[in-house]
Order: sequence, then structure tokens, then C-alpha cells
Amino acid sequence: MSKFEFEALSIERMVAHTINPRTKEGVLVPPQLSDDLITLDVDSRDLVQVRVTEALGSASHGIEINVEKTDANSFMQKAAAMIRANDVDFVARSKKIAEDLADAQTNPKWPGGILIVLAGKVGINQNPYIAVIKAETDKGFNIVEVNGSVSLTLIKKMLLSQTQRLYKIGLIVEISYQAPKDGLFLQHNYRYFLFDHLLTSTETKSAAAYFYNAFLGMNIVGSSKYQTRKFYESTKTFINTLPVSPEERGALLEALRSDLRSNKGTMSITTFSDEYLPKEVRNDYVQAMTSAGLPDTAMIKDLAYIKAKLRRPRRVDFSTGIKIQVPAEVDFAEYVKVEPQVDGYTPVRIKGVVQGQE
Amino acid sequence: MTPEEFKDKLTIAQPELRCWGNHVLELVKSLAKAQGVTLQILTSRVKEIDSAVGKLSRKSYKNPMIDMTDLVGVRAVCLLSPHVDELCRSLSSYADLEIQKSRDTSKEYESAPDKFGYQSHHFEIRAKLATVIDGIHIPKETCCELQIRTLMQHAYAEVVHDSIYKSSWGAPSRAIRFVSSSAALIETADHLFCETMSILESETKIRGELLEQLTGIYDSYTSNKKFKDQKFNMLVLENLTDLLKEDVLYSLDEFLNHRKYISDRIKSRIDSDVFWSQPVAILSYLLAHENPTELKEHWPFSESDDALELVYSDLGKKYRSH
Repeated sequence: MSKFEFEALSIERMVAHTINPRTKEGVLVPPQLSDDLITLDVDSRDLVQVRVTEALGSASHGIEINVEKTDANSFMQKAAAMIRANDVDFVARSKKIAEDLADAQTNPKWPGGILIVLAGKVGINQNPYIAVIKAETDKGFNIVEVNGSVSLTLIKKMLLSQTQRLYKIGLIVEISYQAPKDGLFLQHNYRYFLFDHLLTSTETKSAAAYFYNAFLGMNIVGSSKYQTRKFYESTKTFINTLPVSPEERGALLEALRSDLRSNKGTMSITTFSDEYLPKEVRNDYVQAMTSAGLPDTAMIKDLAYIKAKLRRPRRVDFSTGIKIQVPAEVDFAEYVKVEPQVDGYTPVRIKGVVQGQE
Repeated sequence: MTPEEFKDKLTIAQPELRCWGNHVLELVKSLAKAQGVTLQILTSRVKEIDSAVGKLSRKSYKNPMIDMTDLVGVRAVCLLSPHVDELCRSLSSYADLEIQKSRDTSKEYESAPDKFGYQSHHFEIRAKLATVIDGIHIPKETCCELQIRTLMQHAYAEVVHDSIYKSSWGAPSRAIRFVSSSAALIETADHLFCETMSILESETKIRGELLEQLTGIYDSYTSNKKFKDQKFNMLVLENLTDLLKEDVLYSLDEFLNHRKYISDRIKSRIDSDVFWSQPVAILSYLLAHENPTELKEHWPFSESDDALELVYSDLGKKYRSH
């Protein structure tokens, strides 16, 4: 499947509802529902656009995901139907979606917020899309400058600041239109995208499940194992072709290994490149990876296929504090031979010659 | 003509001399403007009556009202010699007045290439026919002397004219030696400044041409006539030099043809930020597409951040790193 570009994103319709957290006892508090579409001036619309593209666009931490629930009551069906709905119907359906989110938030520790439902077009072919943004409010200050001196007025509730921790986005794009069969839209006519900082941070992925799974009916498994292996192998190949010293190469390979073994839930080409690679090869890397078929957004990490390759380097420790370190990729049995000790000395045979000593 | 007669005539002629001087001054101003030459100094003065009468007693003039060509004078000072040359050329081809060159530094140079001294172009300017300006009658023979020189030549003349040329006693030869050296130095400095300018010009010419063509593309896509900040655009191009391939304008044209939405986006934002009225705005789309990392790094102004964020967003790219 080719990479989807979030180019020329437009916002045509927008409505927002207030989602309340559950009471301490876990009782549902119904959402406050709006009846009207929101009209935005150019600058405000541009800001919403930026929030969507920086969450899902190229070099972002957004991911493409698979749909799991496609029954009549699923988000996928509701969203697909909204694309061609008139304004009244659009608002009515968005209210149902707000109720679904309130239902999905079963744990009182999950915060409330504003659910924004957007419709517009995206991509060079201007495919219609529906996006849902759950945004938590933030506090901040409005700056007022009077005669050169600054005074601050408190903003108690503001939305969609740059803090990505405070919003999640689910988005479905209609790639081709087919009238529903037996009242149901076909899932393969759409592509699905998700941004949730919980997936990319070191916190557990499961904390994000109420949004992407219970609410949106999506799942994040699927091609992750394959993508992770591809990411590992293509990056390794790239590092091995770099004109750097053996020490630097070793350090880069170790960075790749430890990045994949870290407890971050996702991996990303741009993050890896920005954090570890020398500036002058970053563009080449991104190009090599995307032409290998990997997305330049975040990808869900699944180490199943490469676990063995990511073993820690093996080490032999001696009673006197001396250590021998063996890179993970060499065959230990072939390269290191430890023989039984004689008179307190252990003969060790190592393949190779002494290259450096510190 | 006796000094008394001359003094009387001169007193009566004051208004017409002043008027003619101003007329020539306005002419020089407009010619300079048409040539794009900046004038550092432009003044007009009518010769002091006593000074003119004194001159009559030193030199014998048959008809001083006509023969004394500097009864009114205009002085135009330019920065460097090419500007002086340009101004002189446009004066020589100005046909509405009687203009004669009375002192030509290039001829002096030819006849005495080993001498360094006062350098200034002098013109005698008269009306072709008697004329009336602002109700004042200007006789055909009224003459204004126009001097054109560079700023450094002007400094030389100011120093030398009063202290050496006009000193009542003979100046010491050491002083004369020094002023000749400084005249030579001034000529050398002018030469070096001109060289400097031509090096800088050939450097900026390439970028200037690029900006001109870019502006053409921008105008045809947006038909926006708001203020374009030349300096901003040039500085951006200068900083992005490494990213600009030779066929960048061709690529840009092709890129934009596939993305008709870009011109609409630019037009919708023209009132929010001056960035969108700049020709480099349209170029930033191509560069954000081709070299997203480098563009961010090389863009010289943080004030463009919000706008660039939108450029990236329009292309479906994340701009800020979190």
C-alpha cells in the first residue's frame, strides 16, 4: 500500500461536543451536545489544520492502523456515512459519536475534554475524510501589552495548544466511494489513521486502548512485526554502507539495537535519524527507508521476528574483574573459546588480532 | 565696464540668477533620478556680489555679465565615479538647453596623466532662447556653472580650494606635495570601491535574476500586488543557496502545476502575515517538499516559523519537532 500524504488538507465542516469524565463511582455523565456547526476564520482554520498534519502527517508520530469493528454501530460505519451527510445529519451523527466516546471512557481516571468532529478533503486527489479529535483543555495566559509593559490574563480553558500530550486524533479517509451494501460501507474503501501520544511515549500502550479500540474500533497489530523487521534490517544495511570508522559504525548499530529494545511503543525513521545519524546522511536515510516501503510516520513496534537479533552483547566476566565483551551478531562459540583454568589462569582463544588497547 | 556699473547690473540681476540656478538644480535632480543615481549633495548658490566685483579687478573681463560664467553655480556630488559619468552622459544628451562642457576631467587626464589634482566636471548651462520662469525674465546669455564630482573629490576640493588655491601667499611645496598625494589616493580609493561594487554586483546579479523570475511566477499564480520586501527575499535566497539547483524554477513550475491548491492557500492568508506576499513563499513549498530538514535549518528568520509551519502542513508534513 502506498504512503498516504496528508497534503492539501481542508476543513469544511466542524462541530464540537463536551465529554465529561465518569463520576468517582464510575457512573456515566452524558456529554453536552452542540446543535450547530462551528465557523472559523482563516487563521483558526489554519491552526486546526496544523494540529492534524503535525499529528498524522509526514515525519509525525501518527500511525496507519487497521479497522476491527465494522458493524452497523461501529465508528467506521458512522464516519463513512457522515462524509456525504447534509449539515443537519452531520451534526446528528456527530452527537452519536460523542456518546460513544463517553461510553468508551469507562475509567474515572480518564479525563474529559472536547470532542471535535471534522470533515473535509485531503490528499492530492482530495479524498473526503472524517476526523475526530479528543482534546483536553489546558490553561495559559493571554499577553496584553499596554504602553510597552506586559500584563497577563489567565485563560482557564484553551484547546489545541502545541502540547501533543493533550489530544488524540482518529481519522478515516475515503479512498473510493461505493454505496453501502446491506446498509454497510465496505472497510477496504477507507484508510485509517491514529495519533495518540500514549502510543509513542514510554507509558504502556494499553492506556490508549479505550480510544483507538473501544471507541474507534481499530487495532494496532497486523503488520507491525513485519514493519519492525524491515525497519531493523534496512537501517542496519544503511549503517553498514556509511563511510564511517568501525567504532562509529559499532556505535550506530548499538544505537539501533537499544532504540528497538527500549520500552517505547513505537519507532520512527525520522526520530531515529534525528537522534543518532550524522546530519549529512539524514535525508539519504529517510529516502532509503521510504523507498524500502516504510512510512515516515511512527510505526508500532513488534519485536517478534527479530528478538534473537537484538540480544545484548554477550560478556564473559572473570573473578579478577576482567571482562570480555562479544558483539551480539557474532557467533559466540566460533569466536571465543574459553578453556579450563590452570593454576589460577584461564586460557581464552579469541578469533582476530589485537586492534586497539586503551 | 567699471566695477560700479558691474555692481549695479549684478544687483539687478540677482533674482534671475537665483531663478536660473534653481531651474538647473531641478533639472539635475530629475536627470539623476531617471538614471537611478543617488546625489550625496545638491546645492545652488549665487556668487557674492563683492566676490564677483573683486574677481573683475583681478582678471580683465570685457563683458563680465556674460564672460563671468560662475555668477550662479550648482554643485552635484555623487558617491563614485561611475555615477558621475552617468550623470554627465545624460546631461550631454539633454537637448532642451544649451549645455557646454567647460572642464572635462577625462581630457585633463589624457593631457597630463602624471598629474594628480583637482578633479571635477564643469558645464556651462544657458537657455537656448530668452525665457520666462515663474514670471522672471531669463536672458539667453544667463549662464549657470554646474560642477559634478564624487564625494571624495568634493572633500579634496573643499580642503584644497580655500587653503591652497585661494591662499594669498604661496603654499609650501610640502603642502602641495601632500594634496597631490591625497588626490592620487582618492583616485585609487575610488578605483578600489568600484572594483568592490562590481564583485558584489556580479554575485547578487544571479540571485537578483532568480528573484525577478520568482516574482514573475509568484505574480502569475497569486496576482497579489501587496508590498514585497526585496531585502527579506534576497536574504532568504542567500541563505538557501545550497538548496537551489540550477533548474529550480523549472521544477517549481512543474511542482505548482500539480498542486493548484497552493495558490489558493497563499491568497487566503495574504492578510494574516506579510510572509504570504513574498515571492519566496511560493519557493518554500518546493523546498519543503524536496528538502524538508535543510529548509528548516537554513531559513534565516524565526519570524517565519508560523508561516513555514503552514507550508509544511499544506504539504502534509510536520514542521516542529516535539
